Formats: sequence, C-alpha cells, structure tokens
Amino acid sequence: MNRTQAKSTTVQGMLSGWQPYLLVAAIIYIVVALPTLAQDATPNKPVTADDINAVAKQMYCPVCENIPLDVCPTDACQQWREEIGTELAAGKTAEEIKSAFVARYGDRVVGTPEDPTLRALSLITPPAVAVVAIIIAGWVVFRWRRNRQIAGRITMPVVSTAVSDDDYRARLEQDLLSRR
Amino acid sequence: MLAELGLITTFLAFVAALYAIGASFYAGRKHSDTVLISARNAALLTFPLLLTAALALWLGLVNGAYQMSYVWTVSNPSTPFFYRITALWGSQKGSLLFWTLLMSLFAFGALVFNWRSHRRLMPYVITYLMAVVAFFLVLVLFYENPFQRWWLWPGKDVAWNEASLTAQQKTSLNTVLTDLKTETTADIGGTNSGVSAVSCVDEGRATQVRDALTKAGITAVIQTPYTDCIQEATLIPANAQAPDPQRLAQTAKGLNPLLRHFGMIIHPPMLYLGFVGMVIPFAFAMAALASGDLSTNWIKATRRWALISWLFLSLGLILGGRWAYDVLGWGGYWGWDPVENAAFLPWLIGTAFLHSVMIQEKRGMLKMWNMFLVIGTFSAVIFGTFATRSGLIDSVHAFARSEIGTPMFFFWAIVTLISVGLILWRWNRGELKDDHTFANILSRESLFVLNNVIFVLLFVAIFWGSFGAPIISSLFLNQEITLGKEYFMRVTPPLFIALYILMGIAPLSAWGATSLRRLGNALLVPLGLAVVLVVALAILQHTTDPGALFGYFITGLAGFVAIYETYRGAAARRKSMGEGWGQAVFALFGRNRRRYGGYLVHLGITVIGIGVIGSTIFQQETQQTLAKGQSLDFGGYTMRYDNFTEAIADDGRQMQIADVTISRNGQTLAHIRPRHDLYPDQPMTIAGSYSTLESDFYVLLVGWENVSADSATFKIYLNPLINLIWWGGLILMFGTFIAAWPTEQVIVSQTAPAISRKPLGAEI
Repeated sequence: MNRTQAKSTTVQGMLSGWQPYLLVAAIIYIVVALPTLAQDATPNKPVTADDINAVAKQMYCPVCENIPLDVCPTDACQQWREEIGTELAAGKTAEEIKSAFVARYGDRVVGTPEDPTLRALSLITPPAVAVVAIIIAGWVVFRWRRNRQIAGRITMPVVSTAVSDDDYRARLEQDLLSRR
Repeated sequence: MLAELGLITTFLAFVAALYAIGASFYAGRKHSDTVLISARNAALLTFPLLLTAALALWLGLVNGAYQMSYVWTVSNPSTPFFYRITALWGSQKGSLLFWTLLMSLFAFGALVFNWRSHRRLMPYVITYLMAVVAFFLVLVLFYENPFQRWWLWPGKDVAWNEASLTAQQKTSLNTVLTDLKTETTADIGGTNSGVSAVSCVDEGRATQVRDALTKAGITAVIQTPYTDCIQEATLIPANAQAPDPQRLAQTAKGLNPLLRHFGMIIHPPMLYLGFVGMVIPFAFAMAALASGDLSTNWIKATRRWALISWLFLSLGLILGGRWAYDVLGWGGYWGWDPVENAAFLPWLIGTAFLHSVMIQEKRGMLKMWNMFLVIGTFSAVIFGTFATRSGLIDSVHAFARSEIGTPMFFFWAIVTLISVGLILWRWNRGELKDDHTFANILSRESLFVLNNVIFVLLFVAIFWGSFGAPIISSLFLNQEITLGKEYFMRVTPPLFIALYILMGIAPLSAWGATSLRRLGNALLVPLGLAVVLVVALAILQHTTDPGALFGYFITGLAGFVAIYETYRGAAARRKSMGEGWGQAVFALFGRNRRRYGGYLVHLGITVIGIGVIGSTIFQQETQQTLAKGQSLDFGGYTMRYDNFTEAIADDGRQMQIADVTISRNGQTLAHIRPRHDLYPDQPMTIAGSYSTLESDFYVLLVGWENVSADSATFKIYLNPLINLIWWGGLILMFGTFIAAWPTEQVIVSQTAPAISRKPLGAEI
C-alpha cells in the first residue's frame, strides 16, 4: 500500500504545470487515431478482377494491335493484368500504375500521350482546326450575304425552287388548318 | 487449268482496260463516236473477264486446288463449303481481285445505264474508270497475284561447314552474302548437322555464290538439297513439276479463324461495294472537269450511284460493328481502331456530299465544294485502302504487310493532285462560280453548309487521331503518338451533337429563306415528343445523367422531326385527296422518294444514336469466378453457371463451352453457351448473349479450372439499348433503298386536287 502510494506520489510529482494537459491531449490523440492505426494494420481490401479491369480498361496492350488491355486475350496481357493487381494490392493508384507502364513501354499504352506537350498537340489540333473552319465558314457566309445585298440593289433574285417549296408549305399548312 | 484461266482472263481485262483508256481519251479529244463505242465495249468487257477470273478462283477454292497458293493459304480440307466461298476475300490477294471485280461491275453498270443520257461525259468517264481499274489490275497481276502456284523445281544448295569457319572467315562470309543479296539456311539438316547453305538456287546462281565464297577463302560445294525446293510462281519455272496434291492438302493453312463468322460473308463485300462504288461519282466529276460540262449533269448521273455506294458503305460499317461485337470478344462494336476509322472517313465525306449536292441541284451553288467533296470521298477510299493493306497501321482488321503500299501511296497522291489541279484550273477560269448566293442564315442551304462543315471537322478530327498525329509525330518529333478511345471520346461527341441538332432543324427550313418564328413553330411538336422520349428513357433506365438525357433529347428530336414531317405530309394528302393513312403514306413516298426516304434514313440514324448513347454511357461490366451451380446477380438479371463441356466441331476446332442460365425475378429467360474455340494458331472467345430490345446480357468465358472445370471465370457485360444500333441500320437501309429507287410518275389517285394539279409532296 505504501509502495503504491509512493509510486502514485512519484507519478503525481512528475505531472506538473502543463504536463497533465499534454497527457490528456496524447490520450485523445490515441483514442482518435487508434481506429485508423488499426485499419492500417489490417490487410488491404482484396483486389478484385473488376478493380484490375477498371485500370486495364484505360490502357492498351503495349505489343498488340490497338487492343485495350482489359480485353486482350494474350498471355502477355494476362501477365500485365496480374501485375496491375499486384500494384493495386500494394496500394498504388491507377495513375501511378499507368505512369509506370508508360515509363516502360512508352505512350502507346495509354489513349493519349502523358507528355504535356504531345498531349496538348494531340488534343488541341482538332479544336484549333474547328475554330479556323468556323471562322472561314462565317467569313464565307458574310461575303455571300454582302454579295447578295449588292446584287439585290440591281435585281431581285427569283428562286423557283423556293417558290415551289413555299407553295407546298402553304398548301400543307392550309390543309392542316382546315382540319382543325 | 483454273490458275491459267484466271491469269489469262485477268491479263486480258488489263489489256482491255488499257485499250479503253487510250481509245476513250482519243475519242474525247477527236470527238469520234466510233472510237468511243469501241472504248466502251472494251471497258464493258473487263467485267465478264474479271468475273471469269474470280469464278476460276472460286472453283479452285471449292474444289481444293491447293496447288494455287492462295487456295492453300485460305482453306484446307476441313474448311466448310460456306467458308470456301467467303475465302475469296479472306486474304490480300483474293480480296484485291474481288475488289477489282466489283469496281468493273460498277463501271459496267454506269456505262450501261448512263450511256445514252450522259454521252458527252462518257469519253472521260471511261478514261477515269478504266484508269482506276487498270491500276488495281496492276496490283493483282504484278504484286499480289492470286493465281500463283506452288512448284517443285530442281534447285541446288551451296553448302559450307559453318563450324569450321574462323572469325575472319565469318566476317567475309557475311560480306559476300550481303553483296550477293542472298539468304542462308543454317543447319540444313540431313546428315550434315552444322552445315549452312544458300538453299534452292538455280545452277547459275549456285556457281556465282560458290565462286564468290571460294574467292573469300571459304570452301563451299554445290549439292542437291535435302528437302524439295518449292517455289510460289505465276509462270511455270523451268523443269518444275507440281507438288504432290495430297501433301499440299495436308499442309494447307485454312482460313483465319477471325474470318470464320457469318458476318464475314456480308461485311467485306458490303464495304468493298461502298468503297468501289464511289469511283462512279468520282469519274463523272472528273469527266465534268475535263470536258467542261460543269452543269448539274454529272450530279444527276451519279446521285443514285452515290446513294447506292453510301448504302453499302453504311451497311459495311454496321455489319463490321456486329462482327466485332460477336467475334472479337470485348463487349463492344466500335473501338476507334484505325482500320475502322479508315472505313468511316469516306462515309463522313460521302454523307456531306449527299447533302451538299442537293444545294447544287436546287440552287446552283457550291459547285466547287461539291467537286472537292466527291474527290475527297474517293481520295479517302484510296487512302483507307492504302492504310489497311500496306501495313502502315497495326490492327486486328488490317491485312498483312504487303508490297502494294508504295504503288498505292503514289496512286493516291497522283489521283488527288490531278483532281485538285483540275478543280483549281476550272475555278481559275471562272467556270465553277455559283448561280445564287445565300440569302438567310436559317435557310436550308445555310444549314446544309453548316452540316458540311461539321462533317468535314469530324473527318479532320478522326483522320488526325488515326493517321495525322501518328504520321506527323513519327516524321517530325522522332516519336509516335498513338491516340486511342480516350482521344476520340473527347473530341468527337460535340461534333456528333451538332450534327444531330442540324438533322433536327434543317429538314424544317425552306430553300431560300426561313424565319425563326416559322422554324420555331415547326419544331414545337417534335420538341414535345423528344421530351416525352427523354422522360420514358429516364424512367426505363432509372437515370438522371444529364449527358445521357441531353443526348437522348437531341437524337430524339432529329427522329421526331422526320416522323412528324412525314405525318404532316400524309395528313395533308389525306385531306386533299381523301386517301386513307396507308395510301397517303405510300403515295407520299412514291411521289418524293428522295425526301421521305431521306427522312427514314434520318430516323435510322436517330435509332442508331440512341443505341450508341445507351450502350456507351450505361454499359456495366463485371468479372466473376463462379462454381458450378453458383449464381450471380448483375444488372437485374441472375446468371447461373451450370456445366462445362468440351467438343470437336466439324471443321476440327476444339470447343470449350460453358452452359449458363439467365433468369430474371425467378423466371428462366435463356440458356446461353459462351465458349472458347481453339484453332491451331489462335484461340477465339465467342460470347453468349441474351438479347432484347432493352439490353444485351453478354457473357464471355475467360477462364476455367483446367481439370475439373468446377469453377469458371466469366466476364459479363450489360449493354443497354445496343440492339437499336442494328435495328437502326435496317431502317437506314430501307430508307436509302427508297431514296435511291428510280423515280417514275406513279399515278396514285385519279382525283385531281382542288387547289393544284401537282400532288402534294412532289418536287420539293
């Protein structure tokens, strides 16, 4: 009893000033952190074939003919899929795995280049062409309209087919109206 | 005998084509009718001659004439009759002959049907048609001859003892062999293990090689080979004899397993017909440029041919998608593969042409643009053929690497340059100026121009992703950019959306001018119906995905505009003519097949669009291993693995089959049998699927326990609405048939309309 008391006194003597607060903070931290630590300590969630395919779907077989890795039937592809499974089990993300494959086999394993310049070149070229085409089309239409306005001052154009079309529409509308 | 017959008739067809080129050109310059008729007859003759050649090859395939090396390559004694027929286009050589045959068929048809009506264009039409036919015959005769045969011939080996050579002698040996451009066979066999040789060369060559080796200090002897010298040759080599037929039959390779599918009967011929048919509009356009007859004559002459080709191209693309879905075993129908894209590119430009050509007919506008489009379509056909057949790109759809790449590339470049040069020449002379100008931004012609711009942009985007980026990066960046599905799924959807929006609006606008109010009023009902469709699909698919619902709305609008316009036309006829609904619709289609056939095509494209959106956005997949008797719930269905069996098919392939039961809410729906087919060279994964209009439950057998098969691994896809793609294809086909059918004055009603003698729906 005395020994216990003495020990208690000793512990009490050690916790002076701000130290009790530090102890409380440490206990709170442990309580809060324990579940996380416990989670880390347990084995990872098993990697399923669907997890592997979700990553492989974003990649192409490095040695085949434009075949996505998730559906490529060769033994080599099977090995690569197993490798993806191993990497996923080791905690790597899809992006990390893709980057590792690109580093080994080049950009052809992904749908668009990883290199920022090449990626920009690949993706921006078509929209750039589209913008140029639309500007040209706009300019052409503008020129046509201007020419028409100039021509209109000289003579009114008569478009026989348009008249025919309007005639049809007028008759069609007349028929439809008369049904109401 | 068959090989000789095929070779001679192909050669005669080549001579006839050359004669037709020269004679027709002369007739065009000198205005000689007699010479022109002679040129026409020669051009017509190419078809029966090539048909005879193709029949000879077909007979060889059916009768197992394995001395013909093509027959030996694509068939064997266990090949069913059915696949012996389709083997004609099963490999490069035969398919080139078949391609040329179809081209001569189109040329034959164009010369027969357009001879009287377009006589002025005929000299140059014949020149261009036969130039293309002759070029392909050059490929058939001199590069990829399907009538080559195997021959045994008394060749010699020049042999030396490789093991006894010093390092210096080995260096000298390599130098000599490189200088002589010859290959060696190491360890030639027999009792002479360790002996290398230049095998199977003729006496003169053998002496040349031996003397060169002796000069380099290497002892070599000329001897009889241990194995027969076999050679693939078009003409019979000196002192050659035919190999033993039984031995040839035993070693014959057989058809590529990927091609042993029902879709392969129809898909390649459809695609080829679509490709080669585009030669007719091209030839007429070039003839118009060459002759100076730049009226709408060439368009009138070729509109139907262009439509027929477009139909075949569309069917070829759809059937190709179906083949990939059934045979390639990846749960999809379109992988943005370069070869798929190569076939899609001419379709895009061809579709733009079919629309813009109407503007030239109606308004005399876009003359130069139409020339560019028709030439662009043919140029895309030739480029696609070059890309697919030259080895430029690796693809599961491509032919093996071939020597025809260089001539095809030059042909493509020359044709394109000459065509563009002619257009620019005529344009510079002021002969391609438009008769009218655009009046209104909402007029039909303005919207068609916009439609054309978008088709061309799609062409550019897909060409860039498939060929432009890889080729340019290889040439200038010293590394190859390969762009996959991710690129195409980013770049193309906005353009497709724009096309569907235009497909919904343009049919409602009028030629010349349309007011916004009038257009808005016409759109009200289709807009309402599209909203109803969206709500229905949202409920059916339990989705609120805004992208999908927007896609359904846009595509639905285009379809409902087509339906509503047809309905309005029929209603108008009913009112004015007193016809029943069926008669009114029939009369409407009869009076203006082009317009209402076009609406059906739009409806088909709408149905395809809905199928594409549903199957792309809502596709689900999983991979699971199941024990026998174990079930899996997926996508509202239950799948049970029942049994595993192995069997041998009639053609000798080994099949490993899983028996699977599909049920829903406890009710058995189907028993399906996904399987593996094992051919000597490659395995095939053949899906089993339960198909409804709502979805496909698509099952692949991807693995099993080798001994007991007590458990098996399946990859399962749920592909919603995918079958709409095939049904849409049928509607498209039907619509194009109607649009392309020759127009005749059909008297549907004897009663004259009260307000006009002209029946409604005609001449719009």
